[in-house]
Amino acid sequence: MRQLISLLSRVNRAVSELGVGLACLFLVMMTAAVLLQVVSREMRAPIGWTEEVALASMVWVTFLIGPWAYRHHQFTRIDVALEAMSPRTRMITNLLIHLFEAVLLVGAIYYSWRFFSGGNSLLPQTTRLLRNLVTPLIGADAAGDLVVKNKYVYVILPVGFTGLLLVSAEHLLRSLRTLATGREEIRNFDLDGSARTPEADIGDTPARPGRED
Amino acid sequence: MGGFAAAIKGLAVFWGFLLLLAIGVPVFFAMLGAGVLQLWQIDRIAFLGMQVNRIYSGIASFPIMAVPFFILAGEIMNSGMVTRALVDFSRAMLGHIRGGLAHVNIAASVLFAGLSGSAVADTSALGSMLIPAMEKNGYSRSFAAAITAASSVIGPVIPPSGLMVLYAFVMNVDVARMFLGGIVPGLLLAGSLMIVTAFMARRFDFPVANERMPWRQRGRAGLRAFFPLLTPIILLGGILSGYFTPTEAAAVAVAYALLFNICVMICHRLGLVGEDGFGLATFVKILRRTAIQSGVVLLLVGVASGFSQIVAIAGVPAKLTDMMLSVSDNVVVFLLMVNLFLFIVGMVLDAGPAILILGPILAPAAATYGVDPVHFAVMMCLNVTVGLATPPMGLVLFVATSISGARFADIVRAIIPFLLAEIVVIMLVAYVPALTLTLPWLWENGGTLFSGSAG
Amino acid sequence: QEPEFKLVTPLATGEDNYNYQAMQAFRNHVFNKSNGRVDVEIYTGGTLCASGRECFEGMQAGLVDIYQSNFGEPGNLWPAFAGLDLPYMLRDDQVAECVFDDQEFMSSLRRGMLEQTGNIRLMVISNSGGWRNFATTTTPILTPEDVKGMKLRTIPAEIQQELVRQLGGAPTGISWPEVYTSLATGVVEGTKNGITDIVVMNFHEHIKHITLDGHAYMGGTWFINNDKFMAMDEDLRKIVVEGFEIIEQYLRAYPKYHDVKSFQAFVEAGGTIHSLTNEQKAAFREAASGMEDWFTSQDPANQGFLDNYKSAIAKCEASVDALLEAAVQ
Ligand code: NA
Ligand code: NA
Repeated sequence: MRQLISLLSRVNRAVSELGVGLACLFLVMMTAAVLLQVVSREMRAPIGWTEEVALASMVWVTFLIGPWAYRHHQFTRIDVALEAMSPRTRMITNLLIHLFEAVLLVGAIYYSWRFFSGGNSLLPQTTRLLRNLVTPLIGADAAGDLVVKNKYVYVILPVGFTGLLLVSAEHLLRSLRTLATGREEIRNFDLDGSARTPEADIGDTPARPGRED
Repeated sequence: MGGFAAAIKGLAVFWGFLLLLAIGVPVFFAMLGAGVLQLWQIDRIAFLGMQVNRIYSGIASFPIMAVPFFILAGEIMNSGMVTRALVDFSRAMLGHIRGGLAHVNIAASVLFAGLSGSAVADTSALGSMLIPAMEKNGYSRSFAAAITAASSVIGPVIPPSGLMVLYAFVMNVDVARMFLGGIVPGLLLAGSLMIVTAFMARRFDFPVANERMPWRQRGRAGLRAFFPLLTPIILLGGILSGYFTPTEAAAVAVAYALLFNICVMICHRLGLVGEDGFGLATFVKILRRTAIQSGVVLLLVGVASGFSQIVAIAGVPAKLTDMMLSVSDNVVVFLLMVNLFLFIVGMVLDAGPAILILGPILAPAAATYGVDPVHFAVMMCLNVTVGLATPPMGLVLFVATSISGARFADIVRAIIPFLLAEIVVIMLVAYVPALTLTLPWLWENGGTLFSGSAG
Repeated sequence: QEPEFKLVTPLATGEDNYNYQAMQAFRNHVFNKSNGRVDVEIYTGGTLCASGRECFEGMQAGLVDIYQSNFGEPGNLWPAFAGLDLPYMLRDDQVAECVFDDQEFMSSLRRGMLEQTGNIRLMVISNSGGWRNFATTTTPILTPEDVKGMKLRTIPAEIQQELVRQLGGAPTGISWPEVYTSLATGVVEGTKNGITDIVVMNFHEHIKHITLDGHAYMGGTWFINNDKFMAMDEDLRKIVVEGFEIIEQYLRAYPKYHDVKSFQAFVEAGGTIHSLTNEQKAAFREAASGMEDWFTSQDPANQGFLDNYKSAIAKCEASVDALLEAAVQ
């Protein structure tokens, strides 16, 4: 179990750091798109695809951040009841909560995968732009296929939920181990962000976002 | 009382959510879980297939984009010299008052309300700027977060207001009259919060940052804070003169903050100012923090949209309304019930969905009780907005938690006096229609009164 | 007893809207005539799905059975369909109604939609709010030159934007919730909407001119989930088809009256309605004459659609003219 947790932990750290890195890029893209929208309109040559790109980027930022936020206990929860419980009850409750989360996430992956597979074209203007750009290079037929592909914007939902499930599995295993060993990870249940699990592999981000004094 | 029992049973989503939340399930999962429970209970589990779709479109909405932009602008300003300049300036002006920075927080929200129609954006922008400053000044983190959340509800009450546009859209009420009607209630909110702050400041000995400063020193502090304080004026000017929409203004704020930083860097290189700007490495850190904060907030916005959809499908609000309408036909009792009911609804529902779902149900009822449509509209918007800062499920509270890093329970404890003051304002607005209706009336009749011609 | 088929119908509007009234008439017909074997479950106010994208995706997932949309949204599923929004094609209500009654043309649309989507079946095309006109805040549009350089808000549909572009204007994307403020502050100088939307959204507080160029028919297209439809016996299917005819009749008549009320509200708020002479209209048609070429260059399949559309229009213009000719003798 120890090896499994450490493996998951390493995978999750890589996945969530990658997610945050990509999210930063999408954040820049989103800001640039909206500024471009303002500037191009004031020059009386509005660009159609700016809103589409900005909105899609925002969804990508959101779901790319998911695993990191979940792993670093950034999801708001009310922990008054947990704090009041005896350690043993708390361990069991925690285990059940993580189990509940994992079940919900499995469902979310299933439905978001279906959402992605049945998705319609989303970004007509952006697609048009891409098609106009690549038609001289690859021909009209191949460019036409791009229209179908633009539902791939949706892929971030099943991907994001899968990332969350991986983190959930780690939380679940950790709470199982806690129950087995009877040793609580320090304030592992406290998700207000001020506490960290003592594992060295999580201790890579001691500061809370937004606090740099 | 069969109807009552049925209503209790039909409210599975409500009880389910509270229960999950109480045992410590994160809000994100509690909303998902309660939604599933409700769909199963009304035998529409197939509609789970629509949930992901709704989560997507809940996030992919243009007005909500102001949230990450204001977080980003706030982070950029925070990392540069701005926070310090603002703190210095506030100290210079109000530092000698007990609770000076708390007052500044409220006043800034009034200013911000003129730019942004969103309480969430207000909390993000001012919170990431003022909570660290207040903490540095000696306030507890949870108090700083609480006053930020409490004052942010001024945002959608003072125009412009996305919420009012939404209400006007579903109920066909004149937006301009609603906007004018919101000004006095918004200022009342600010006034009541300041009174509470003043009392608490004396009672709990809030920090006095410094001695009263001479005007020369204040002028110097004002000069340093001039360009950051120009931000709202540039934004408001840009919006009013038609250069950008309120949401785009948030992106412009980001550009302005970045530009300001570059200017500071250049001036520093030239030896003109003592402060240095920040470099690329810091900028990457800023992006990282912004992305994380935005992501956490937007995930909630997404599941909240899905949750609201299920609440609406299950007809939960209608059941609650039925319960209320069967009690009394007295207008005072009615308004009291509406206030109470909206307050409870506000605890679990976001303001936008609450307006969309309940406006069409309650407004016709209000008309039969003889309440003026604009009066009711403003009161309802005020009511659901205050709900945003009300536990257990207030979006603004969650944002404040995420921004400040204080514990949710501590913020809830700290916000109670302010919530009480806001409830008093809701009551005033409900029972004194003149507070809402005078400005629209002056606007309509002003021409006739002063120049003898209509319009 | 429980109905065999429950048709889940999301509507974007509330219970005071004519789409809801039409749907009630539909429900009344199918429920009674099928002896309760078919019923309708209506979700108003966008509770089940709020946008065309959401609703069509819901239909493809088998969760939505009946949906009403404009011409632009289905164009995201099948680009040719958006060609119904080509400007200045339909000259008036009579011709438009005749074209959308043309069984040959309608079945070509139905076939195209089914081929593209698998299960989204077009039933009828009715009206959803009159005609799309130019509506501006300060400067009235009387000639195509007036559009030059003007920032006009358009819905995010290619054809609408291309029209403004061809007239020399700047087609501006503004998300729907921000259109009101944008008109008030001057981010945009005008919009292209039907009178109903303008009044419902209170745009007429800032929009002071409406030019009745009638560049596009505001069609209301009604779709049904084909899998659900085909699962019914043939007699039930016929009852459902009749129900859609009731919707079509109601929504061709009632919006015309509703328009009158909306125009009244617009004029009372200080707005001016500019109707155009035949010469002025011809100038707009001339200025937008490049639209067809642009449309056919967008997708190889568009040419076939356009040929069908134009031949249906020609047929209808002739028959409407002949009818009128005969009636005045
Ligand atoms: Na504030
Ligand atoms: Na609340």
